[in-house]
Amino acid sequence: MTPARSLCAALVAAPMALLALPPPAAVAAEATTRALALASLWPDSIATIAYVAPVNSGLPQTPPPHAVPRHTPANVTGPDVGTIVVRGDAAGAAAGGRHSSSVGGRAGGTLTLVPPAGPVFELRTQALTTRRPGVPGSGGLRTEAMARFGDGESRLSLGAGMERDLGAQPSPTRGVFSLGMDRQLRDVAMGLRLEQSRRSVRVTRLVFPEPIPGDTLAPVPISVERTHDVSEITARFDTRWQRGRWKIESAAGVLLHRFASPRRWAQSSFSLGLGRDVALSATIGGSAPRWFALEPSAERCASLGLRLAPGMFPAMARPSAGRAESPIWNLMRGPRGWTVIQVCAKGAGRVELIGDLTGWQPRSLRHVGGSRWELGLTLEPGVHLVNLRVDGGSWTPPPGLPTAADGFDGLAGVLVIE
Amino acid sequence: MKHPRVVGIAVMWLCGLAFMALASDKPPPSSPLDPATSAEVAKILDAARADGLPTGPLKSKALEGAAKGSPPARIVAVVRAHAGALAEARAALGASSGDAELEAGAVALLAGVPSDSLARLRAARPGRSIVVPLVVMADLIARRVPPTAAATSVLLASRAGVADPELLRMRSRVERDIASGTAPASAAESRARWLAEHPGGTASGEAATPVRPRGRP
Repeated sequence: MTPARSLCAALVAAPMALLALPPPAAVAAEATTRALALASLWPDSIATIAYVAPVNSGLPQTPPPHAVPRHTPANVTGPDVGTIVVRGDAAGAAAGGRHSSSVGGRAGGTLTLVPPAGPVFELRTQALTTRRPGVPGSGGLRTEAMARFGDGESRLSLGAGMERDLGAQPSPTRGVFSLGMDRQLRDVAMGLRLEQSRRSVRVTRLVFPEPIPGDTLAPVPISVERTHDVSEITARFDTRWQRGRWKIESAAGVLLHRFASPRRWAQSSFSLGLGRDVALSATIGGSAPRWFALEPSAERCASLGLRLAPGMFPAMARPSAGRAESPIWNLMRGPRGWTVIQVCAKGAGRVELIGDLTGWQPRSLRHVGGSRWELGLTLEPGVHLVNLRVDGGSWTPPPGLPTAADGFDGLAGVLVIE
Repeated sequence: MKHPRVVGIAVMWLCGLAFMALASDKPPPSSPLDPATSAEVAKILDAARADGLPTGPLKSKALEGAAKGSPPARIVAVVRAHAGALAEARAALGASSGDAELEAGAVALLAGVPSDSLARLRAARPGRSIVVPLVVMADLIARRVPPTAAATSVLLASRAGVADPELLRMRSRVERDIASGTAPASAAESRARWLAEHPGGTASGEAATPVRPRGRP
């Protein structure tokens, strides 16, 4: 497919993909349109049309379901109830390149249990399928249970689950074990995920039969094919930097198992925000394992496109349009004083918190999607003064908290931790 | 690689330990105060420490002033006033009061709550924390409820045995009443009176509507 034809296909298919989505008010939808092929940059440039539609009932009209507080804003003790969150997501992609084309889809669901204390538990199921001309269709099904420790700034996750291949070459169910770590340092987010699974590998070996005494003919090697059940380790390291209208994402990994040399892969994406929900995006990289890909591609590719996603660049929001005038403030208490402060600030590009609990140093909350922001802190029992700031505005008391004059011609929110 | 499982598990553990060490490594913030202001604040802290007062709130107040761009002289004055309020709160509440109560009492006194109201509040809730009532008093004053009316309202509710969650709900209702045009003093007094008469009910005086746990004003 030539770049010109790819461009035409993208322009035709993108509106159709958007029309196929549920109404934007009901879902948080992400649409990615890759319109131009960069033939000179990479051996197999592609034009891709894709959309991802994570369905999250309740957003954006109401606070996120997991923001149901374990305590009221002033930490009034009451009956602690856990929270169960159910989410679904779906994605589809069609790619056409000079040498190949493919169609794929992915769907999944997540059940999250947020208990009153301790780690957050998550049960996730995903299914995917990929079809390419002349190649039998393939797919996979994965179910994984995870325990997440930490907060919005640092998280450690442990997971165990099962996976099986579907399609033309189905496989038996095999176990998957994983360990993941995420860390947010101001504008930079880093994550490391290690995963171990088992895979059946067919190995062909040449076996030389024992020479027969007296036989003058040289032994003829026999090809023997055996299937080995081997451990496979995948390591993925990804980084994301985002500030203002700029965003750079990279994902790199290595796949190890005993019957092959390590398979390395890397993908990078650069996005320039044109608006809060629109960005010009360029991606370059190799083919990644299907569960780990930053962008789906069957081969090494480079692409340039337009990406649409609600709230992708919150800093690009117009101050007058949906500015977070009354953000929703919420606390989630964990063990040993660990508290996750959640703020739901529609249209906010940056949310900061200051108070004695941060040593009166501004701390940026982590944007966790949509209008949600989070910061995890250890709060000692006592009386704490705290202020919030949205988009570099003035420091104000968090809404809903009792206030007190701060002595500096302002007000501070008073947080009582018992 | 002959033993990928062993290597994988070892790598996972090493990475986990390194990550936990990195996550716990928080550099201490440097002092944002200039040397002269720091010296003045240090003197106040030393005096407070010698007097047996908690110094944490005073340090915090100095840092708050610096973070909010207040001039040094103002910062010193505010810290000094706060130290005085802590001492006054301890005198009113008793030497056995905890740091949280002293801090809440100091905040209330600085907001304008009469000193004797603190002692009366302590007497109204023997053996129970009075942090939340003090916080509610200070909040009502910040919402233009006259200090005497704020203290009277909270005392009335406290004497009726109203629990802390109800007091906080009352505060929210008063906030809403004031926003809808009710005079601050009458809003506080009417809500407190209703709550004192119905200590087990909602603070609204309306049909029992679910209270939004989230903080949307």
